[in-house]
Amino acid sequence: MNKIKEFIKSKKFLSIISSFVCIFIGLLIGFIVLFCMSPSDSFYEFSIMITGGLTYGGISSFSKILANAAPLMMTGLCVLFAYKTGLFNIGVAGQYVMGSFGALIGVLAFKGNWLLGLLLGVLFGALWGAIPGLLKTFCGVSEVISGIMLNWISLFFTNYSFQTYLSSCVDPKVGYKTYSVTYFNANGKLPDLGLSKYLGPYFSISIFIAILVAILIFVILNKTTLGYQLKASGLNKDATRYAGMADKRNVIITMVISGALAGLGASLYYLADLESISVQLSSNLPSVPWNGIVIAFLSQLNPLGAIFASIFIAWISQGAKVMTQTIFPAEFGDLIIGIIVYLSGLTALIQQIILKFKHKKKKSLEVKEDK
Amino acid sequence: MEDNNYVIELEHISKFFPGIRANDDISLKLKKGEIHALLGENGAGKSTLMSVLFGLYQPDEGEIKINGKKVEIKDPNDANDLGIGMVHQHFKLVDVFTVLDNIILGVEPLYVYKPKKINKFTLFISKIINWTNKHIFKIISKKEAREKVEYLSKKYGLSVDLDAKIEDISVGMQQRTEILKMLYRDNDILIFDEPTAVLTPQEIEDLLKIMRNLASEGKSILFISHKLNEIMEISSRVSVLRKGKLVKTLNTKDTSKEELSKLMCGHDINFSIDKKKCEPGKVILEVDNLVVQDKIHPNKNAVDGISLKVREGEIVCIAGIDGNGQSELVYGITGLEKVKSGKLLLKDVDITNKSIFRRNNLGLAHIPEDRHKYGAVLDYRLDENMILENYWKDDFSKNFFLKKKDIQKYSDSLIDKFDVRTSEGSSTIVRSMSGGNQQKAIIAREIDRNCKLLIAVQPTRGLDIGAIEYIHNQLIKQRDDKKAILLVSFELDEVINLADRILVMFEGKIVGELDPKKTNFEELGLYMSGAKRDNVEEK
Repeated sequence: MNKIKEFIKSKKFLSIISSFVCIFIGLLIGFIVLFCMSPSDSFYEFSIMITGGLTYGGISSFSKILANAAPLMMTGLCVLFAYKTGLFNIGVAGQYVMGSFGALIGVLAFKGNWLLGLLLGVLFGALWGAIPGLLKTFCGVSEVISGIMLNWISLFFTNYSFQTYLSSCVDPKVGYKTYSVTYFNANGKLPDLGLSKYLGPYFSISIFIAILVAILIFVILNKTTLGYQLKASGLNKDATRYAGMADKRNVIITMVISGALAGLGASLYYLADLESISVQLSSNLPSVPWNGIVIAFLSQLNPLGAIFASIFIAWISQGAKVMTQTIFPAEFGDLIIGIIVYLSGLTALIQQIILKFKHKKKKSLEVKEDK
Repeated sequence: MEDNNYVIELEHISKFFPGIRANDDISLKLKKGEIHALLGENGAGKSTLMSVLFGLYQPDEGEIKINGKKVEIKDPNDANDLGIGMVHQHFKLVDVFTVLDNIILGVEPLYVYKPKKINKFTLFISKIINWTNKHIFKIISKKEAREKVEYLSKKYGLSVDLDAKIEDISVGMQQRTEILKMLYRDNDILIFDEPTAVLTPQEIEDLLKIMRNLASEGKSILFISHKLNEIMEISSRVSVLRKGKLVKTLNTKDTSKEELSKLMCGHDINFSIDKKKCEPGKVILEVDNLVVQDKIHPNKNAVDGISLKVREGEIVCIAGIDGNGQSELVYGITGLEKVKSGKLLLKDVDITNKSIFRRNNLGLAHIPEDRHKYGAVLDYRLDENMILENYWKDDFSKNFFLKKKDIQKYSDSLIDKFDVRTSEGSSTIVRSMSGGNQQKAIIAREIDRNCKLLIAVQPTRGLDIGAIEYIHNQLIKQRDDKKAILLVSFELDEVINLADRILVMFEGKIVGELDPKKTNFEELGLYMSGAKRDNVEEK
């Protein structure tokens, strides 16, 4: 009992509460917008969105949420890990795209199984992450600037590759616009451990991989000497220099790990065969890595928090797709997520408000006791 | 009638900050056309007083009169309206603007249309044009401004290149730009905050000439400095501040450097320490002709060819006024800044180009000047800070994993041994601790690393008497344990009490080596303010 009481008083609990307050306010504003658009339908449609479409698709819908959450979790960890070291890895999108490139050539060009795809995805993401790290340490280029440029380079590199020298690995019968991994290489799909019979076609081991990696990142950051150094340089760069830590090496290591996480996220997305892929001819960067930034901040920069944050985001966007599209577009989920992002920037403020509220309560209790 | 001669009268000004009386009942009068010097050590309250006059601070007590009239100066704009201008020690110029643009910045002259033929119609048109320009377009016309600046620069001998960018011109010219900025605004009362600190000797001579010129043209000048030579040369009166109080205002011609030095430093010793006789042994640190570049003003060397030796069992103290290159000397030795030339030997190993990590492990401990910047990761727990340099050693980690229990045990033992007071022991976040206890924790960490060389910079700054005494005793104890200690301090009490040898630094050079038992504040003050210098060669 005492432990629970202590936990409730602790800062961790406060930050969890404030995250929930953010989510609540975000949903509330979302509902108000829905209500304004169409008052009569709003209650019903909102309830559909909140239940995440479970009422429609049942357990298969839930496994789709988990499958979507896994890549989100990885990109969230990617941003979070770099941020803990004092780097803002906006290049997450580029690392994600290169990760998808790696995963796809693994299973399509080399006809390997899912493990090869996964490894190549991680490798390409890590290499792409290393570039801004190297540029920062040796040329003093801000990782934000180089990251944004590398995002577009990666996108057009991938587009170009699949249209030219890799076009042969895409069957012309399907056309080169969209295709699914299983159509070309059944071994390329992530294994489902035979559970997809019960849990729906979207189920795969991706969510387990993701959670394991999240725990691994948690351990690295909190238990190891590497995490100790990286967090220290995120909090006070001068002090790490003073202490003789290899700050340059640490920047590169951070960016490599961060990029590897984004690459893994992309592999988990494409190899889970979630939907037909259209890497080519897309002139937009995918949205998953951008949502990674959302997850990093919503999780209050806690790797374990990222597990829940990513499932929540996947849940909301899934739910928004199930709403009656003629009345409420699926982008509605993005709206709510956007509001929550803004609010998560205010978590410190929300924590202050909660603390003030507590103090008032305490004072009024003390006054009562005095009487 | 006599009052009318004063352009500024500061009467009984007091300014309090939490825990300090920065200014305590200071009265100061500035005559028209005089150069009035303000002399004092670091923290004597000169800058605070000038900030009060310039409207950056509001005085807690007292009043300010300008030309005999009581005024309230709420911000620098008020000060400017009253004709008060200030040249800050670090110039407030826009680097990518030209000199002229910097001078007119904030008071840009607008284009005014003047018709060639004057009749009703052209006057009406010009009125419309000028009104719209003043309120809507705000087009700047630099022609008149240029003429005015050129006139001023000729009149006072301030040579500047109006079209050069600030980043391309010398520090001296930047300073002249600042002076022109004040003159362009028709300021009559000019405050110079340590104007010579950044200049080369030739530039200083030019500046003093300019200041004399300005004074003879009827401008009144307040001149902050702690260089006695300049003060004697240029000022007509001098006020000495010490510990927030005005000690005395003197006519410069009636006083001497010796007297001023004595007034500036005072003679009261707050405390004294019993210590054993110093028995220096082997040389631990050898600095040979070290040169470190000035970061802000790359044309100068902050450390200008310093050679010194520190032996085991002695405390060598570097005395001097802040900003004479002491910080850079320490950064050079510890590796936080690159050295330009020279050689560093630690226990006979050349460490000139070694990494900080190597230096630390060769036996260099450093109590940094800025404990928040370098000394600690404030948002880490206390025990995590206690292993900042040693986290990788076998005692604290195994196979890349931190041994949290051992770390906590070690931290607990340090807390106990060095009497660090915290609210939650080892798990206290360092940011929430008091400054004194943060410092104690850093000192505990550095001393317990058991290094041969301990460099301590201002280890007692901002601490209360109890903590100061404790830290002093720790340093003496380290000396008696045959450690070599290099202490940098601006507090003369500390210097004389702790040191076995005193080296005085002035403008990046060592200008004197003194024996603390034989010297006194007066002599130290003369060396520190550059009035006296020896050729010091380390044997």
